[in-house]
Amino acid sequence: MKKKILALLLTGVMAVSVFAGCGGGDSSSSTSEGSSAADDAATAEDSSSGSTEGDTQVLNIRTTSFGNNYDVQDMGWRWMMAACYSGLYRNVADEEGEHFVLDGAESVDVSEDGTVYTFHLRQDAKWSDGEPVTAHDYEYGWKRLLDPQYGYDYASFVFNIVGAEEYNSGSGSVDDVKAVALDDYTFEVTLKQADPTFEAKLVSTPLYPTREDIAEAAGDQWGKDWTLCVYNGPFCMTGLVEDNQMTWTKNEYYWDAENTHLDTINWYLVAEDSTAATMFDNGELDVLQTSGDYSRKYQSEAEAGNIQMITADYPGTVYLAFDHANGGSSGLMGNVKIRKALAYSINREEMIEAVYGRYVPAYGFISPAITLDGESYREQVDEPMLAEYNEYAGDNEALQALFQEGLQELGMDTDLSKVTVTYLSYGSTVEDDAFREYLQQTWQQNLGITVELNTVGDYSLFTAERDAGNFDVYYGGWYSDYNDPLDYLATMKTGDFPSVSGNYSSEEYDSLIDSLSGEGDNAKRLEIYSQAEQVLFDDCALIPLYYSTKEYFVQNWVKDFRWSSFGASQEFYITYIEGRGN
Amino acid sequence: MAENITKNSSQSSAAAAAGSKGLTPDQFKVIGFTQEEANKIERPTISYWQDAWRRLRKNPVAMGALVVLGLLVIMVIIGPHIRGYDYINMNVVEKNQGPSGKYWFGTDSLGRDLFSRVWVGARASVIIALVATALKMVIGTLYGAAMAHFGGWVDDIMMRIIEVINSLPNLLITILIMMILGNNLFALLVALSITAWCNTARQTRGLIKQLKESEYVYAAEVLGASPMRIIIKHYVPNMISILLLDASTAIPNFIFTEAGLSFLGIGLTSPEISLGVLISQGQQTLDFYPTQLLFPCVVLCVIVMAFNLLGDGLRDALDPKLRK
Amino acid sequence: MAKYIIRRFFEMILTLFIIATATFFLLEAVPGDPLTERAEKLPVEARDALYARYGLDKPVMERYVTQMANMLQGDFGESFVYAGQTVSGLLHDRLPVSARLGIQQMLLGVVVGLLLGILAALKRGTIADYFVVGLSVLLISIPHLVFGLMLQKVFAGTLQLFPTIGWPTGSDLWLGGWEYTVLPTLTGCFSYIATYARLLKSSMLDVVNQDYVLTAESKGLSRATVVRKHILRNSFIPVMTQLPMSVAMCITGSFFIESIFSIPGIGQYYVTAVNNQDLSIVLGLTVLLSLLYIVVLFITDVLYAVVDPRISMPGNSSR
Repeated sequence: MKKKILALLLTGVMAVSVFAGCGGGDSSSSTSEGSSAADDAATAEDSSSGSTEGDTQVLNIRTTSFGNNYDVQDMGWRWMMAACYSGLYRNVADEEGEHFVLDGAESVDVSEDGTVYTFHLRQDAKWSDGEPVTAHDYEYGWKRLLDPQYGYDYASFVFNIVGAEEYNSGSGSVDDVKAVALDDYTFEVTLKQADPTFEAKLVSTPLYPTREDIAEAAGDQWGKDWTLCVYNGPFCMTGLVEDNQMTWTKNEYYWDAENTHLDTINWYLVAEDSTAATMFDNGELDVLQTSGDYSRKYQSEAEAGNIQMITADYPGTVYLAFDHANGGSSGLMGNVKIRKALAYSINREEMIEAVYGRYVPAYGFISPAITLDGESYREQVDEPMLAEYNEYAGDNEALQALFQEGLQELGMDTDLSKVTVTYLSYGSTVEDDAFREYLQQTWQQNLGITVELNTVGDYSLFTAERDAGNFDVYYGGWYSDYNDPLDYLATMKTGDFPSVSGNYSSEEYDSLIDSLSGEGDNAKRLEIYSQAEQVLFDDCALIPLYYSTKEYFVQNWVKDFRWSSFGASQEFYITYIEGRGN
Repeated sequence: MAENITKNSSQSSAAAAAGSKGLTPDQFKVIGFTQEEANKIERPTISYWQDAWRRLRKNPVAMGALVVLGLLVIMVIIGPHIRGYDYINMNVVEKNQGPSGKYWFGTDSLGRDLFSRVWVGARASVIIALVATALKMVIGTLYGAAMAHFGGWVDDIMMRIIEVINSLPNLLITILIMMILGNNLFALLVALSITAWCNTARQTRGLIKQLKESEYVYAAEVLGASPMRIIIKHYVPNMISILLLDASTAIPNFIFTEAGLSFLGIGLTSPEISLGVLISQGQQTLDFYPTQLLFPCVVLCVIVMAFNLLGDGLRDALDPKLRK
Repeated sequence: MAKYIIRRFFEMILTLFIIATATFFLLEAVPGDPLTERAEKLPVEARDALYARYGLDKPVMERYVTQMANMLQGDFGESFVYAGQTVSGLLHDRLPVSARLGIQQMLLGVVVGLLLGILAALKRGTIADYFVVGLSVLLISIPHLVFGLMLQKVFAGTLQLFPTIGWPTGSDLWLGGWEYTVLPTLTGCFSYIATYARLLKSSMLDVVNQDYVLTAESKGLSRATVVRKHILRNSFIPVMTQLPMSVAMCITGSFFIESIFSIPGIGQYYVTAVNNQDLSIVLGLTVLLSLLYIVVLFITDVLYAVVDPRISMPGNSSR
């Protein structure tokens, strides 16, 4: 026992010294300093420092699926791209919260009016074939993103750049797009109007650089065949066996390679939680994401100190969307009172406990992971549904009365037992099944209505049913691409993302969102955001269920594991292994 | 006839025994002997079915299986009501409980009584299997009979259709049918029986062709029996034993095919449950609440086993060649 | 013989054509299309461009004709869902993996199954018989997934005898990395054991009471000779009817096993492709798998004649 404490103490010393090393820029020397500093700490230290050097810097981690898209502009495979590529900024979350660090850019100048960004690139940044990363690579990547022939989803990210939307829509020329390389290491971008969300988008992979020579040579195969890719991130993809295993190795050409400790990262595709648990228990996996009962099991293991647990908000909100276009197959969803009765009759705490065993109950749309001026949006704005929800919560008579008022307004029979609401969903995991049964039960028990389940096998069948209007409500989720409330709120604007909003339409809401463009003052933006979100919930445009969270279980020998909500889900660029033994 | 002979022989042996003690012919008198008496069959005639039933009854294993099946049928009907718990209504406070006096099989992740759920699930599984088997039998025999009856190029084309269906991977057809018709009971029945009838059709075709040319059918025809009589008296009894066997293996097959599909998310959707659905749900919590998997699995095994053993017994009872 | 083979060849082509057509239109009948998920967030022009790129903007019949014409030239086209993935690429990467898994499972399963079947038939009505029946019911009623996970827990988790997941690749593809193949092979062989034990048992029971067996016994042949020469030889016919189906199944049938053990095989991919309505991949794989089935069927037909002297080559005389 004593020995263990000593070892732990030593580990602490090492971790601190390595941190110092990251700042100083020479990790190997400071690590050895660390061990010499602890020299007077008796014999245990010798073996400990020996094992540190003996630790192979290999990390084994589980995933449930591999992406198949290596084109950064497509953001096909976010967590691979953010580790193997690098853009101007990197998004990192640690104990201090979510923040940006400069990555490919060494410094940034922003003009007074906030419309011109000048990025000064690091001159030591290189691609994995040894070529330098230049401003031309950024220019090519951004213009490629806008090229109408590729039809990239995320082109709209940069529509605020002068000439960008015109080029993308076919009415302008590529030469008029004001994202240009002034010289090899200076990249200048001119915006139509100041936009505080622009910086937040820079961490996303569509705004990463792309090598023109490589991409053009690959032609049709670009982004499909990983062996044709070059990388400028901390790691390179070096092996892939589909449905089995993927290997990343350290990129020696990465500008900060000396602070990157891991030599190899092995991703194993493990479909079943049970298998993953076996492997994690055996030490075959160093990092585990899991669900349900396994999550509860490892939570208690973490409390006992056997493993580390990292939980973080993740910018996703899961909700139920209404059929705003046609009022649903029951014809009732056009009435706000009925929508509210449905929304307020779900006990989210109970539902989360019964079905998922994790996550945070949601009474608003925007996730707590979204920050504004470095502080969580949810800290600054109260959840808009909470007040009215509390008036009704648990009071079935009041809820039924509300529902009946709605029926009366529609001029319909107020007999609740004759009402049938259809819920459309897909997926067949235990959680999917449990949720839809929970929802059916809870509405039937609390409101006295009948709930039909329209359950389909997969996503394309789901969209077919949805487009055919065979539902009243369906299961939806929005996971944000960049760190600003706008990415959430923009989805509910009339006609922009009908699959997300359920064809919600409100003039008041649209004009609030429109009033944001060109608004550079974050205090004013916050005001408008909160008004807009309030409009959504006055209308009860959707039924929020829970805010997503990330939960990592990490072996004690893995140090400096980082995560991120908007870049890669997990960041390994400073992670190292210490004390795994053999 | 055979019995008369035995009677006579026993009489004569009795006479021989008496003779050794000094019996004389005058001790005997003629009691008469008519032709009718000679031809009289003392025991009642036993039909094919009575004979089969008689032999099935002598088979303790098959009878055991029959009794178990009877019990299962009773449980499937009354089982869900024994404990008085609803199989759908959740009770989150009492979720994931182990077996107890209150919940004999424990509860599931939404706190529902597993005992009631297992029997509801078994009911669905058995009904699905029975209906799918009936479909397979009806379609298969009609198709097979049509092939045998028409022959020639009709037979050829119909045979080619069977060949195509057999060559397509079963899983492909099943998944596609479910995608086209949606996840509902009707689609499930179609998907299960769409490939299964081919075998029955082939068997029927072969049997009828064989029967058509058999001597006793020929004899019946020559003696002027009507086609209806030939079908009822000769075709049906000869085919039904084979078809009965076919059905008794098909039922358990359908039950676990349905269970397998549940693992792919195909088939009944919540809140409807079958044994397959329960097993696939139980599998996901195997490490923590093994009883949620164990009970539906055991019931499934018992059902499948009972049908199999009964099938074996039937086969012994029905197959004339196995008479000894 | 040559005439028969030529006739069978043309029949095979016709069957394959019908299979391809049926698969194509079945896939067409499924609501939705494979590009839905990719196209959903795209603006209208980009969506049209995407559909045009895969030819999905054309009417069904036109696409059918194009697809068939391409397939005749051996070009099955590219995956709709997994960019860059082609049928020939899949066959090259994944078929050997599934083939080895399937062959190992089948060999082990069929051999053990047949032995158990013989045991059950010869010891009819004894404990051994009921043990075999019980075992085969148990093996067939417990889903693969459950078996696999339990084996994994015990042999890879608790005992640490074998690796939890993985499959030999590269130079070990066919003959190395045996430790990886043990658990998947065991998991998969159970259903073969169950099927073949039951099949051989019942077919042996059919044969046991045939007149020629009685004759052989009354001639005074030893039990072993009767079993070997008369019973077994004749009971193998249903087994040989089942084999082609097993061969075809062994390639795609290991869906769950491949998924649990992270085996990069074709079964997993096939099911995913069907679910994704990935038309070109499904069509290509279906035609090839059916071809495999038909070819194996043909070979067994020829073998029949060898095993069963009563069967003469069909085609010589009309039935």
